Amino acid sequence: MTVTVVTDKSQFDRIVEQSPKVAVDFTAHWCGSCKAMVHVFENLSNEHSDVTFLSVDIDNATDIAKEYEIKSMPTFKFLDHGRVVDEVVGTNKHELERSMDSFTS
Amino acid sequence: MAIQVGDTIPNTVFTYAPYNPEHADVCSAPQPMNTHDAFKGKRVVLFAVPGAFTPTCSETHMPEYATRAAEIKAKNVDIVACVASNDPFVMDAWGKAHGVKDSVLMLSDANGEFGSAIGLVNDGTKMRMGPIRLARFAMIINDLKVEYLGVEPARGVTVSGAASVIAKL
Repeated sequence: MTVTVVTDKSQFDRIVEQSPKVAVDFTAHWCGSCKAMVHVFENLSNEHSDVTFLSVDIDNATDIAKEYEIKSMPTFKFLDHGRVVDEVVGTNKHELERSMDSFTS
Repeated sequence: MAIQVGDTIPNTVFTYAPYNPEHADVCSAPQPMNTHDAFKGKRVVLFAVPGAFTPTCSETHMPEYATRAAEIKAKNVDIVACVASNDPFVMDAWGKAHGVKDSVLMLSDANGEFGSAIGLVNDGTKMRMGPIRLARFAMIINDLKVEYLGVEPARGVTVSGAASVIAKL
């Protein structure tokens, strides 16, 4: 599984509606801290085929970022049937992996 | 004509990068701050500098407020904020450079919306500082009304400094 880049809100909403488990990486191209987590997120997408992995650049998708109230990056949101059930902010790899394990258990 | 004591501050939008105490390593996404929404019903000390990091005046003007922010807030003030003509990333970096944390909100009036509306902007083109630069001033704003206004008449920090404002609180 790979990470799908989403810029369009209707596309985002459609994916969330169709996928029971979605993990989103809210990022920005100018954010150095985000770059550190890109590979971690990608690796997780290869390990968890039951989850849909999305990447949203807050500058390219301001409406999605606003809806999910993104204040800091990177922010990872875990959506179960469209509802946010967990969130990880920052560059703690272990925290993200732990949240992913809980999400998929 | 410049804003005066007793006037209501204009309804404009600043941008700022919120301080995140739990995650020092994250990048802040600049947020809009509507003056009338953010300051309604609150007592605010808002001071303005022409530019972040600018030597002598701005490098002492802002840090003094950060050092004395708790003292100011103890005198029935809800928010202490610094505004300059720079973008929110520069304001965020300036705040971080001085370890300001959440003592002073570092606000950007990059388009000069607020400054122009209150008539306190200067043209810095002769010094290659850009056409819109906020004047150096401090305001005490109570429920959107100007309670005190100290505009610096010349170079230096006097009526817009933390000491002058604290004396008026």
